[in-house]
Formats: sequence, structure tokens, C-alpha cells
Amino acid sequence: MPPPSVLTAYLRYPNPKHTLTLLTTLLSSPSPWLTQTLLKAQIEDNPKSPILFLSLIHERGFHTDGLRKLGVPLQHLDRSGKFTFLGIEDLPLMVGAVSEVVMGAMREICTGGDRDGDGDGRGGLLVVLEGLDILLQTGAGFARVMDMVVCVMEMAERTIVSVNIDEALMRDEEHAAFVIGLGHVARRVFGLRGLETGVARDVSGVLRITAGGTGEGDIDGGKEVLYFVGDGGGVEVFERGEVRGG
Amino acid sequence: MSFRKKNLVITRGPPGASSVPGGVPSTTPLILRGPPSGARPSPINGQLTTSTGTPSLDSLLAGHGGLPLGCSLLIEEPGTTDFGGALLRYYAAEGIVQGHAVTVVGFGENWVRDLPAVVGDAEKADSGSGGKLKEGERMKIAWRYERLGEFGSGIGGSRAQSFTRQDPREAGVPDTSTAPHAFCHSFDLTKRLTIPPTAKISFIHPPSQSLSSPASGTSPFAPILASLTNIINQHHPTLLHRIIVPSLLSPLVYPTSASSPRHLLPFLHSLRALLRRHSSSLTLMISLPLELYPRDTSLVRWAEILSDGVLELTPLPQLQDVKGQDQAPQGLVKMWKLPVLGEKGGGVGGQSGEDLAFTVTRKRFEIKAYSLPPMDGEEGEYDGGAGGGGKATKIDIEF
Repeated sequence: MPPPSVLTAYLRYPNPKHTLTLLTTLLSSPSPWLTQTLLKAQIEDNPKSPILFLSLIHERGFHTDGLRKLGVPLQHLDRSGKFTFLGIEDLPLMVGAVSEVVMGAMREICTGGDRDGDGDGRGGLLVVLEGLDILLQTGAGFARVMDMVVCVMEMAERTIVSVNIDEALMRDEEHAAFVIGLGHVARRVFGLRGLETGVARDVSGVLRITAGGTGEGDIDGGKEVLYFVGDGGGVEVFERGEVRGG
Repeated sequence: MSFRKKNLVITRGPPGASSVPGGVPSTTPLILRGPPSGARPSPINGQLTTSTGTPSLDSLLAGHGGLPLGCSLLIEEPGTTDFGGALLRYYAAEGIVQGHAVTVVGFGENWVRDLPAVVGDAEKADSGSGGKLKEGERMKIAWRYERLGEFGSGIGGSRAQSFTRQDPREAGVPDTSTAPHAFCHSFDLTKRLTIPPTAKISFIHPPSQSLSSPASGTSPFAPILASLTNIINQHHPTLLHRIIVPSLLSPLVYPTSASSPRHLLPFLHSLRALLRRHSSSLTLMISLPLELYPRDTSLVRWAEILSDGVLELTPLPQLQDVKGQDQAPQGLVKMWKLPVLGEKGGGVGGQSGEDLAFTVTRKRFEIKAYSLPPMDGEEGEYDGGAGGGGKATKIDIEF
């Protein structure tokens, strides 16, 4: 599958220093394909940087399948110990345990990078956090979850966080505070939502890319594209009104 | 890999015997060994799926033709009806008929006593009802239109049904993967299923109300999870296992502390982790009455996010004097999330574009396209039928 070319310009950062990318998702427009696309772009840009992927919703096989389909050389990354995945099976739904595991894993990756001795082994840690917002519901408290994200952000060079923004969830004060707080520290926000005009057979939804609170205004007024996820999970991203080849 | 193997067989086969007869016998043993009873590979990604016991629900599940193993289905229902319970009973009955392990959470033996009796093979019954008519027409109608006719009868990915029916014809040999064991049976709600003594049914009793109310700090779900893990570990890893959670959060069964997100969400999260860990044997179906916990609360929304498939059954008020009452839909079906495809990012895809309705009759629970009944005194009956057919045609083209 060719890379979604319309997106390419928005997936890369010229100066990645402790940046946070926020993905917002709805029940009807889930984000795994976007997480995987972003991750792929980051891996292509920095093939040497270690990756920590934490998901409270999905298991390892789900994401590795998707990444493999995108053409990410996962086996190679795995062998060199640069890809650490902590999935639903490894993590209990308790904020204390989760943050301990994450911090432990990050420390291990950072020190492990030193042993490599290839100069820039320490740099460029990329962390993906998926579904952390569920911790808010289990009585973790907004401050503890937010602290954890900020901690991760400071240790890692680039962080990708995906959160659910269904209306039913945003009514919850803590949840809304968490999402908006992340929006303020994010450099870029990728929002997924359905089509306003109803359901179409060849469009899954709308992807809106805007600058986050710390973005440098490199996207004027944001950018909106449409996307379509096929039966097999292949994704096509295109402009509104674009004629797509069969 | 599979492509390569086929090629090898074809090139090695004797030149006289054409590729198909040469290739088939050598590949069928592989298929035979593969899926356990009551499972078949999904036509989309080859993942093994098992039947929900309701053919029209199977065909709605994103073209997989069944519930993929390792997946869960959440059935929500507002109001005081229990149509979702019927779906759960079909699911349980199908499991018992197929010899799968069945675990019922929160209810005792009484729940299993009410299961509908098996009547036969649903796929055969399907073709049997219209079969005699079709037999005669088959000669006249071009094959592609004939297939469209079949699609008119169902909705959504009826593709799955047609798949199984076409396979034998195309391959020229009996479809060995489904022939000995039917994938889905049809049931009769008015009769009771006689449960064979060998059936592997287990029950997890509801958390007792009196014990858990003083210690509200401990989760009422902890004992359920512990015994569920126990049961799963006792079963052979290749034995398919269906977990059924009827009326989750119903105050009759669960203490009030169960509805706290602190307890419910970790429970659902652990269930999901269990499903993923045993993704080659477990499936799960939950019914959740929405009367006390509406869909727009964050609790239910998280329950939906933690499920693989979500559908809502909304009962319609029943009119008393409509002719053909038994054919009138009893409620609307909304698919909020589809297994596998929904997780990847496709959402509900194009499927939610159709209005779906369900009809429960003595013989079956059927989900089909919903269109408003024609006005009295109009000759619109044919229009309605044609409209339904047209919709199904579009789906077919899309696939």
C-alpha cells in the first residue's frame, strides 16, 4: 500500500524535542490506523530511536499486525530490542501499577541504549500511550494521570497520546480536563470524527489536523482530509472532492 | 504462503488432470485439521469465527460470517424487554449443540433450562424454505442475478451465507470444512433444548449481595474473575469456550457497588485481556440493560470501547391490528461497533447506513433491512419489496 501522501507533510517534525502529538478518537472513528501511520513515519525518520508502545485497550498482536502491514520492519526492531510493547495483557487497570511499569520500561530502554554504544542510542525515545484516559474512570484522579504523561513527555523525545473524546465521556469533568490539558501541551492535534453528512460507503471519516497549544503555527487554520479504512484494514487518505482511482 | 503452496501443487500435478482436481484433495486435509467443530475461517482475514446461533447476526459482523474467536459482543437494550436475552440463549444453545464449553456468569442452572431446542442446520433450513422454488428457477436466471435474489432476503453481509453455499459448487467437492458439522443451527423457541450429559456447562454464581455491601472497597467482580480464570485453565486450550454474561449490572443479580466504574471497568478490562490471551478459544457475549445506565453515560461508553462489537436493540411499540403481525419487526437494531474492522479504524463502515430491524418468531431471530410499512389502501407492497432489494444490491456491489 502506498503511503497516504496527503498526510506526509503533517507526520514529520523538523525539530523534535519533547514534543507531544495528540490523537482524538470517537467510538465510531477509532484511531489505531492513525497511531500506526504516525509511528511508521517516526520510525522512518529516526530508524535508530527506541520505541515504547503502551496500550490499555489493545494487545500486542493487534498493533504489530497493523504495523507489519504498513511495511514497518518490526522483526528487525524487535531483534535489536528497540521495540517494547506493553499491552492490555501486561497492565492492570490501576494508575499506580501502570505508571510504575511505564517508568521502569523507560528507564530500562534509556540505560539499554547506552550499552549499545552507537553514540545516539540514548536519544530519540519515542513513546506511544493509548487509552490512558480510562484510568480517570477508575478513581485515579486527573492530576496523577496528567503527571504521568508529563513525566513521560520529559523523558521521551517524542510522545504520541491517543484519547477518546466521545461526548458522553467529555461530560465528565476530569476527562475533559485531561483532554484539554493535553491539547495545550501538544504540538499537533489529529482529530478523527465521522462525516457530518451521514454515512458513506467509501469514506470512513474525517481527519482534522490542527496545531496544538505549543505548536508553532506551521499549519494555518488546520487541514482536513477524508480517510477510508478497507475491509482488510488498508487505509486511504484523500482530499475532499478528490477523484480516487478504483 | 497459501498462494505459493497452491502453485506448487498445480505445477507438480499431472498435465492431463486439470489443476482443480489435482489441487483439491491435497489441500482439503489441511482444512479439515484446521478449524475445530463450530468454527470456520473468516472470508476476510482467515481468522477463525464461530456462530452466534443467529444466522442474520453472523452475517452482520463485518463480513466475517461469525464472531471472530477472541472477540466479545455487547448487546444493549433500553426498556424492560429482553430480546437481547434471546440472542444470548441462541448463542448458548449453539455452543452446547457444537460441544463447546459454555460458562454462564451471574445465573444458575435455570438459565440453561430455558434454552431453545435445536431444529436443524440453519443454512440448510434457509435454502430449504426457498429451495424448491429456486431449484426450478436456477436454470433460467443468470447466476449473478440469482445471487442478488438471495441477498434480497437478508441484509448486510449476507455474503457470508452465500459463501458457504457456493463453496461446494465452486470446488466441485463437498465442502469438507462445513459438511460434517454445521456452522449454525436453527432453533425453536417454544421447545426446550435437551442438554446432553456430556455438555461442558459451568455457572458462576452472582456475587452475594449481603457480603459485598459492607466492604464496598473490594470489587464484587473479583470472585467472578477468579472462578472464570479457573474454568478457562481447566479446559483444553483447543476447546472453544463461550462466556455468557446475561443482564450485566441488573440490580436483581449484581450489588449496587458493581455499577461503579472503579469495579466494572477493571472487570471488563480483565475480560478483554482474557479474551486476547486465549484468542483461539474464547468468545464472550454480554447483554446490558440500558434502563438504569443510558448510553450517554461515560460508564456505558467505556464498556463499549472495551467490547469488540456493540449492538443496540430498541423495541418498537407493537401495533395490535396489523395484518401479518408475525412479519412486523419488533424493534430496531443499531450496530455501534463491529468486531475487528471497527477496532482497526473503519468504525461501523457503511453498514450503519441501513436501518436494521429484528423480528423474533417462534423459529428464528432475524435481523433485516427496515422499511416503513406501506400505507393502507396503496399498492405499495411491491415498491417496498423492490426498495429493499435495491438496497441489498448496493451492498453486494460494494463487497
